[in-house]
Amino acid sequence: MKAPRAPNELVHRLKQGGDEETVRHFVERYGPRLLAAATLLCGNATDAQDLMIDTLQHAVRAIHSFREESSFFSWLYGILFNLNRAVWRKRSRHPLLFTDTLPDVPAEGPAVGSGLDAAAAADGLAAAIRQLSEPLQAVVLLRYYGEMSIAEVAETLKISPGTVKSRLFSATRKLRELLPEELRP
Amino acid sequence: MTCEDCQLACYDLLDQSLSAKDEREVLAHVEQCPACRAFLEAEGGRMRTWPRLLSVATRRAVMADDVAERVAHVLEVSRGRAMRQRVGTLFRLPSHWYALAASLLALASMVSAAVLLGGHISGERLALGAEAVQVDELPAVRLVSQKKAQGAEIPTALPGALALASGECVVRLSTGVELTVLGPAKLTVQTGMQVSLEQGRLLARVPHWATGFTVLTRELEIYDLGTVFGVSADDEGSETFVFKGNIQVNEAGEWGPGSHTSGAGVGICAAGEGVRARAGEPPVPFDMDGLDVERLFAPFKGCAAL
Repeated sequence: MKAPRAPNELVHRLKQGGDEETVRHFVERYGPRLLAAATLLCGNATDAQDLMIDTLQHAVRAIHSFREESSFFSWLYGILFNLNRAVWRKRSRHPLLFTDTLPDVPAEGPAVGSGLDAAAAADGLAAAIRQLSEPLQAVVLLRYYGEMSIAEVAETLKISPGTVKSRLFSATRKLRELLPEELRP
Repeated sequence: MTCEDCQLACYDLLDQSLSAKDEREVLAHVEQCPACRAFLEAEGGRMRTWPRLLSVATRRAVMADDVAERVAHVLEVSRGRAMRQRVGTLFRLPSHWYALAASLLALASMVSAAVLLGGHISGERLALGAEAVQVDELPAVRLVSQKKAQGAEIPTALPGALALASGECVVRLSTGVELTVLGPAKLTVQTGMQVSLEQGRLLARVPHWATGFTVLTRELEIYDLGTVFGVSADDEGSETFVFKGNIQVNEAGEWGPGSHTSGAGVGICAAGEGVRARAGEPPVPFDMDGLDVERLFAPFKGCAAL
């Protein structure tokens, strides 16, 4: 079968029931970016994988509720953050045990920041973001990882643009305290 | 315009979503206010550098091989449910429709009997009606993957025995519950929501819609409350351990055809906790520092932290 060219075509096929090939295209197109966002949120591979799969599974089950008024990615991110919020609520008193370490892969590209290489700077930033509360994490990731405008973040999280801006403001102030000096822009 | 108003408006300025008038006002404030100028520059810097940094932070994220299959499985389950709902809807008719349907059925029976007596229709053709209403069912137990698995027996119908002489195999039940079984192991899959482990070790990954999934051993009844948990059983007793979420553990109860009496409750275990039951002794809760969890569950993929 020919790969669906546009996201709308893929959504349409999923709404019609979706065969294995359609699901494979759906996973290939959206899975990696959702996994990356989940990795930033969770900080370990197992939980990130679970969150990404849960998001994709929720999406295919609820595909008929996607009204195609916003971007499909925004809709998927909304599901991911809702599921992550549920995990936060349920998180038990014990720290998670799935801390399987990922193989170290050297970061590509030139160094970012004055004293840190790109990989260390990136890991430092991601770790600092994970120390924020869940609502602040969501706006930071959508804004700076999803590269969304304030209006898009508001639409994705179903909150007002004013709330997005005040959360971003609080988040960046907290991050300034958490980040090493080299990472503060 | 206050500095706070200006700094919040800086987000819109960078998004280019301000009106010309508001933009002029913000820029005029930024021009004469060092604090707001610094804020605008910092936000611009974050928007330029953080997307790339955050992409670098996810460089080690690799998709598992079976993601598409696991997502497709949900569609299959949904389709099965939709089919059942459609069939259910057919039978939710007003009472006068039942009366009409009954009359038609009686009439059809009489006509069929008359025709059969006349010998015009063979029994073979009548059987076609039953075949036409067959509904595709999900496989009871599907083999997802295996590693050095020997002597694997996967049931094709439920209840059915699953056996593994050595190695590891991952199976998925029709409910979406995924079981990683380490050989030698012997278990009976009673239904998509219940498994009896006679011998060996298994790790159950239970999706949230299959909460309530149960593993029975000779000594314990383990009820999932939305989790990943391991269970081991041998001649000396059985043990369960929670990696994520919660489980309710009871002592083994009485199971009979159509009836069940629960055993005494041992308690709810959270991540990092478990219960060990020696044959003939009361079950004992433990945490991960207490007993040799590593020996039993470390071989399962993703449990390296142990």
